[in-house]
Amino acid sequence: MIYLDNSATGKPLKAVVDAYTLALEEDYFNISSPYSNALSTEKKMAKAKKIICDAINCKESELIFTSGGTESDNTALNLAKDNSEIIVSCYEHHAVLNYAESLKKRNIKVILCPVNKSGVVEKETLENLVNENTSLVSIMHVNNEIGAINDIKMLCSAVKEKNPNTMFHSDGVQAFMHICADIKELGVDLYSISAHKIHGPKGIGALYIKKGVPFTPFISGGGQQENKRSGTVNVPSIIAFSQAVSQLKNGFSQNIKEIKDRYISLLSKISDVKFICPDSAPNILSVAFLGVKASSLQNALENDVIIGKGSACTSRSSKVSHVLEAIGLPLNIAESTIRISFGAFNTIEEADQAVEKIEYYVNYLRKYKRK
Amino acid sequence: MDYRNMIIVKVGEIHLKGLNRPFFEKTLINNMKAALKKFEGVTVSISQSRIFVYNIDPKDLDEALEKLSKIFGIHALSPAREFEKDIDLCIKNAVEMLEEAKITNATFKVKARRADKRFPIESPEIAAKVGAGILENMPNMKVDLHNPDMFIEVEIRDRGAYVYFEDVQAVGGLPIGTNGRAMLLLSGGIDSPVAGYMIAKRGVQLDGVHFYSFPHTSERAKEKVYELAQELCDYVTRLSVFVVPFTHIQEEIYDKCPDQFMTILTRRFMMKISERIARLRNCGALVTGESIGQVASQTMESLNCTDSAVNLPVFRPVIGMDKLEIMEIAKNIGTYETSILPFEDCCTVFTPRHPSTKPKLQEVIKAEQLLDEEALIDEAMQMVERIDIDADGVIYTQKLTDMAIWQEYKKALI
Repeated sequence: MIYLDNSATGKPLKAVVDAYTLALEEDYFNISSPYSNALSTEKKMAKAKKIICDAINCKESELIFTSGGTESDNTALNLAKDNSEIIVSCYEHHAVLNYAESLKKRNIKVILCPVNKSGVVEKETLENLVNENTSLVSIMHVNNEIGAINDIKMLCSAVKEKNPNTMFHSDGVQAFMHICADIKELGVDLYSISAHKIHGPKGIGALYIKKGVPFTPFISGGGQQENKRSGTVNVPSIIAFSQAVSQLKNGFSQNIKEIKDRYISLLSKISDVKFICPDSAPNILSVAFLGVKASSLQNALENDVIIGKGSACTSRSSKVSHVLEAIGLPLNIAESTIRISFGAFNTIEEADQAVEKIEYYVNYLRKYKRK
Repeated sequence: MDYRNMIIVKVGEIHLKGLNRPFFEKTLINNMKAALKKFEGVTVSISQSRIFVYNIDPKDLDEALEKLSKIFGIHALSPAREFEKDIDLCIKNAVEMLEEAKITNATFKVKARRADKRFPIESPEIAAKVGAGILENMPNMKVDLHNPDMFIEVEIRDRGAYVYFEDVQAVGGLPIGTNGRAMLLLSGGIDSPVAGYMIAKRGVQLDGVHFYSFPHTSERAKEKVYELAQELCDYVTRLSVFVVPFTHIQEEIYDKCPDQFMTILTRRFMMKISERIARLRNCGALVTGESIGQVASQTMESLNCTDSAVNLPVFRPVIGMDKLEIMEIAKNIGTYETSILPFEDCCTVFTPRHPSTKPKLQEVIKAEQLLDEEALIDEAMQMVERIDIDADGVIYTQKLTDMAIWQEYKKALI
């Protein structure tokens, strides 16, 4: 079985599992406790945190750990001011879209920013939506379904130029460790990341909060993490998260880019194939085989190759994804669009085998068109 | 304690049965025991055509009532107290029960029934005495013989005396197992579970058959059918679903037969395969969720074509119902929410854009002859899987070819 649905979730690396297990067994102390065992656990946690902060070039005081991407996104959007306006791109993950919707009860106006046909937010479009009442903008770094990359640095500075008081958040869950994410370079105020998308454990993520950004905690309680996120600190998950980061730091994306290129060249030979977003992030390849229903292809392949269709969070719904709709993809193409996403366990060598299977089932399913 | 908590079970239609009534009662008691098996020590017995359930832990009472209310053959259930036949005890227990239920301020009427004629006080007098006793002990209770808030029932029977005032409505019908067995074609939609429920209600034991078109439909669509079967098990206790791989047959029809007959031919194959499995299982009928005119394959002409594919009777209990009426029942029996989950239960690829709504049987049969029917059915039969499901989910899986009845099937074919 060849697993090509790494954007849904990645298999944890061996080192991640080992680090996690060891930490569960040995570093179970509550780091808020005064005794020396807890102190030693806290030190390990601090070391792990530094590895993660270094990967995005931020200070330890600028990062809080959360339960994952969804909580990070919710926490960030929660910082929008009452009675203000916020702008989110129309093809955000539902962790952003649905939370934004809930802000309406705080009298916050939610403006959806369209994306162009290439799947990116254009500077002028965004600029025109910002006004003196805009308290927050949230634009994802890499779209989870089509892999389109937004120029966050440009968008952020355009927003700040128009209104320096507007906070800029980016959901970097699919970008983190795949495309360069030097937070300082991007200039954002808030940035969400998650561990399980990079072969770490599930249930742990983080939110970057730039120094000086006014912050209100999303979860209250015992005041852990400098009162920014209460709840006993999830040390084993953080240590395992840092393991994933260290392991992937060397050359991970490079290799993935090669794998993706190999798939593109092999898949191009299948007739009536359409690559949805050619300039996408190296980990995501969105492709349509015209006349083949994505769900049928996904079913047919499942014993040999596991692929995605839309994002895993929404693909159980039979509707066409909001992302494909947002980029104006005609219905017949949208229905045929699958997502192939790569991770650390994929190899160039397996590409031939995977594409052979894909081609076989594409041809098989193409025999059955609705008459 | 001078009383026992218990449940009085009132049967519905069984009352109308004559000499074979003990058979119906015995079956009902067995079904009740099966439904209550998780409650340790519970006993079910019958006396003077009333069924009694004993030894239910008070904390389990609501759950037990809920389970029993879904057993076909039961009309109503009343949590009651059983005690020695004594008029003072009748009053004492009635008062205690009312106080326990926090009913202290209501109008009531006492209904008394003296099934044990040896008891010296006659029914009207029992009612009067118990009513007076309640009034004496509970100053805010009032008698109202014409329009009371509640009826307080007192029964004097061979075994003892009983007081109760709560009637939990149950589903009615006849006990499952008293009217043979039928094969339900279960699709994953709204209609077929409702059809199954309605037939099971008449005392019919159900088997299910599901046609599976992987990869055109997904594994999750099949899981959804298991889930529906599981939900039906609240009423039927246990269901064997026979899953028939159907992809090849659909593809052959698609390749070789006229487009407008694709659906009707598919239905005929489904009926034929269902009939074969049905006969192996001693089913006396097929059950479908068809309703006149709902889709092209459910016009009168189409139904004639599907009917004539088989010799077993085909029961279609929702045939005259509107979709909304069917949905209403689905909601009541708890299958609706699962039915509307968005996994395609039949792939649109095999649904022609212009299906014939008035197919002529002879033309359909002619189209069917373009296929090697026997070989296709045989191939499908070889791959049938039996999935046994109860209220907790899948409990057992077996290939049809591994079942003893398969040998009979092979013999019959030769």
